[in-house]
Amino acid sequence: MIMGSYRDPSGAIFIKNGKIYRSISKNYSENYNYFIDSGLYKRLVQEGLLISHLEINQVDLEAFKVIKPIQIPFVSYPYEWCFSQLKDAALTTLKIQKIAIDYGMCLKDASAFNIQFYQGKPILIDTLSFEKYQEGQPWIAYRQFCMHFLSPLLLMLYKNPELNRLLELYIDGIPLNLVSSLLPFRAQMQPAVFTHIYLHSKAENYFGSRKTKSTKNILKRSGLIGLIENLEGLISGLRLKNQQSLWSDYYQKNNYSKNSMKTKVKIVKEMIKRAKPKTTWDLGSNTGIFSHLASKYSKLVISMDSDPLAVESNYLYCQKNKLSNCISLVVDITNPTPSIGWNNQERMSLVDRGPTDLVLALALIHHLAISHNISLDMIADWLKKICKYLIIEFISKNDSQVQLLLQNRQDIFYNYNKENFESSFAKYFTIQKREDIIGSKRCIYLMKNKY
Amino acid sequence: MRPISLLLLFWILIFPKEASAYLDPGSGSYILQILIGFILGGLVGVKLFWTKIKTFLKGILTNFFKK
Repeated sequence: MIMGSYRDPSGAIFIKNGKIYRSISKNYSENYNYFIDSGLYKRLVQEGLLISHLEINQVDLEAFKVIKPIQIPFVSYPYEWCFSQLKDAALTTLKIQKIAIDYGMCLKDASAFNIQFYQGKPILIDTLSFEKYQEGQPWIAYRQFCMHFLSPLLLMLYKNPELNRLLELYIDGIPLNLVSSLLPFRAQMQPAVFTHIYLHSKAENYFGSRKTKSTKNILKRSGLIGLIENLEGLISGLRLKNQQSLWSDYYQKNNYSKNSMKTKVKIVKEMIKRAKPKTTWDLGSNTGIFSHLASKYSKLVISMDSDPLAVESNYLYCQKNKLSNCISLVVDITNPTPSIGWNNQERMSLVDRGPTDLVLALALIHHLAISHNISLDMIADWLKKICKYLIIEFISKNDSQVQLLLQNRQDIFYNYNKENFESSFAKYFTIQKREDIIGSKRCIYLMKNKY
Repeated sequence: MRPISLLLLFWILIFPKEASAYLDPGSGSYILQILIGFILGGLVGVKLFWTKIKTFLKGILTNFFKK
């Protein structure tokens, strides 16, 4: 069983021969049959909101059924998403909930981890998230929805776009009282925010410690729909203002002339073609210019950057231009996503999700070596773990960007030069091609992993 | 009576049956939902009512102009 699926007793995920399967427990059989027979499954799949699956011959005799869902080529986590990704995932969840109610079912959980980006769109991957709706029953996943989606979205909007990383710390969602204490007054004064966050956290505190007595279900269907629509309206209206980050105008400010940039694109393109990758990871992708180039020659491209605004810009570009094979993620290469959760196995680390066929590390190495004091040996040693081919740019010390990094500090990087760079990487990689970018102090290499 | 006591009374009267779900919905979340659902449900009703009236009026006007 995959650790991430242990919470819900309706079923479990397991891997057989490298493929992912989901077994359905006997106690979920009634809900599953209703889900299929009511037409809800068909409708959600048709609308591209739910992952489709095939029922397969029993391989688990304990289970009611075993299904084989479409295999998601790369799993990403909400703490790696930018604002608009999380917003789209939230709206997808609410849309699914509304459709489910029409079919007499409802979402019994609303975890952000149940959403993945597949073919450019957020999609629900948990087929067993539905249960029969009983008139009067409140939405059991309301609190989870607020903690997994609404809380990080509001914090990203009103405080800092980097605060989605809090979901890494709070795997079950950001506590409402914490969000309430962090949000500014102007945010809390909005009626919907006041209700779903402030009042919600107060109600949680007040009633949480008191004994409850069950009587009867009372939330009318229209009330439930009103609640969903209210959340939908609130989230649709959240818009990140146009902010300029350190990296968002990088391509305008750096020392590439138009011609040098053209040359760089040409060199990288030829190298990608030679590597023939199925999957490409673009590390330090910025707004994704080279990811977009790689997406023409690669089945799947994962762009990673530590700047959430650069990732936001990349995501919106891919949405607008229908680059459905490109996923942009907020990842800090100097502190890559760790494995977290129970037994440190619930959510995978970045390295666990590799290796990839090709890594692009363009205009990156000087940041790792000079801003973060990571030696060239250590960089080569890490990169060899995650890729078969590597396209890497070396930027010499007299480049203006490197000079900028060194302007306020002592130059202690005696080993930072082309010769040492090549010898460090030659331990693990074979250098297949080396191209100088004319008009700059930069050089691009195509390397193949020796192991 | 303090508003919170009223809320408590309301909650004792309306608290839902136990659900068999694996997720803890949180008592506070349930009560809040019922409160906002009560208000928003009313608004949904008003919206539906207005849609019906609008459709009715549109029908009358269309028929009137056709004549």
